[in-house]
Amino acid sequence: MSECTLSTQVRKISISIQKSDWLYRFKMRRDLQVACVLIVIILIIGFFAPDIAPQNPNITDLEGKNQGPTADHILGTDYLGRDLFSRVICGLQTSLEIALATIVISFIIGVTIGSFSGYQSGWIDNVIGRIIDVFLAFPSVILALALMMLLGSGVLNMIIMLSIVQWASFARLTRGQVLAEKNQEYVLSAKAAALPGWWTMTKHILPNCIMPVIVLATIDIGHAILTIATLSFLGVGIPPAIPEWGSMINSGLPYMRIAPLNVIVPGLAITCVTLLFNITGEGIRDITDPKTDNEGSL
Amino acid sequence: MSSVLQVTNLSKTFGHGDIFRDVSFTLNAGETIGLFGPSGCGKSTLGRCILGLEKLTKGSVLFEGKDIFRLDRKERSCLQAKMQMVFQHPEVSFDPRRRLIYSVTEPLVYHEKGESEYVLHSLLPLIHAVGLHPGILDKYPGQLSGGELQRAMMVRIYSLSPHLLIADEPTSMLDMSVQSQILNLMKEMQKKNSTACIFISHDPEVMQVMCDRIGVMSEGKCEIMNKNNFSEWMQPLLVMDTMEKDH
Repeated sequence: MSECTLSTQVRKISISIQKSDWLYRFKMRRDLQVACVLIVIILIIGFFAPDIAPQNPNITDLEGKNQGPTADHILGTDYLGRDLFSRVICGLQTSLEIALATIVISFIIGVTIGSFSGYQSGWIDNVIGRIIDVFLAFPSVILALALMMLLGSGVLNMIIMLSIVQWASFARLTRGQVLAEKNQEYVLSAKAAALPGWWTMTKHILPNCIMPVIVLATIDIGHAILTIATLSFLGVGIPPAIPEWGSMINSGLPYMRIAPLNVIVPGLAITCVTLLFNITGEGIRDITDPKTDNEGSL
Repeated sequence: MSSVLQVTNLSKTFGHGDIFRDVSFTLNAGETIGLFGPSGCGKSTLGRCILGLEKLTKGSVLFEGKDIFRLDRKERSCLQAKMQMVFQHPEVSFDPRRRLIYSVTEPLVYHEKGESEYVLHSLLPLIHAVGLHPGILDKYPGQLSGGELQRAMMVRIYSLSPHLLIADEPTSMLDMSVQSQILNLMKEMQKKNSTACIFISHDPEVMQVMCDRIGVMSEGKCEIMNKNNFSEWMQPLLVMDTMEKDH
């Protein structure tokens, strides 16, 4: 083989180092593309909610309370005469803000602690494992309620509280994944090549076991939105001035017969957003797992 | 000839008892010592202990005159890069999520701080020497056969020009023709680099071909014998084997 063809070959191979297959699988999945586009739209709406909402979500108008859809109010008004459409859109912002912050924080904490624990093994792993078990042993809503009483209401407190509840499930999943992965021969072979622990961890073990955790995180965004709605439905967590889907359902319940949209619209919003994150989470799992075929599996 | 490896009174105990006791031998550059024994007698564990992948219960391993367990991290890493291991299952010895090219160039990229493309260039002669087509490196481990992967493993290992190679049944998962190719390749590479080698196997014929001396492990003891003694020692076992076949 001549020197010239060799070096073109090398260049071709080097280019393909960066090329990855999940992009190709992503192109094959129409449903996932739609879900991703919808998520981007939701994120944009959530981010620019105050600008998109046609009216101020907190202006009350007792004359026109519990109205059905009109030209002024596309979805009608609630028991204080506030515009329902604006409140749902601003409620999206509240939910996304809290849910995303919670997932990011608990993902970072959970993955760090879980991978450290799984990699170390021995008594360190035992101690951390028991701590994780303790956190998982509490029913999450009850733990959340107790913490909420302790911390008081507010968006920031909600984020802190949900992170305390959530991190343990990430830590446990990561720990289990790392434990299973670290005795694989390719990890031994990295050790034998005298690569340091952090290199093996970040370049081999984590990339091989992080996918289920990312899927869990995406699905957990939906769960977090549900938990937020649950808590504010129960009347803890979010102050009444901030529009939130759970508290909207709660306040709409007594008027359900005369203004059913007050319950249906926030309920539908919760369902759709949660479902969307679930679908996306499972789609990501399918396209990033080289072991599944292009069809994906459920 | 200088001794590369000096193993003195090596013992390993797991919870339920001794795996092996008081194993001692020295290994010179370019020499191959075989470890022979039935399954579960501690051959692989001994190999891993020497490499430092598992902790010793007792004894010492001197590699090039230094005890790897008593060095600080940096020195240990330098020294450990010079002792390498070939594993039994080539299919799982590579990170399944990385293209082969990444895994093959990785040790040099880390230890010499080189660019991946540059390292690949410097490895091309080695890749050709083991009879691999460079295009194959573009694939994932799951897309290749055991023989190809074991060759790629040779590239990965010899890229660090090791002074000691521990081969843990490198061919037991391969079919006969590929087996002999890999063994020849190992011998050739060993001669070229005058690498000391510990060859772990339970195949007496392979042992005879590959090794200068053979350590027979049974019941926790390791008895080092030369080739002639080994074939004498094997004789009754082989006779029994043929008798069984005749029946």
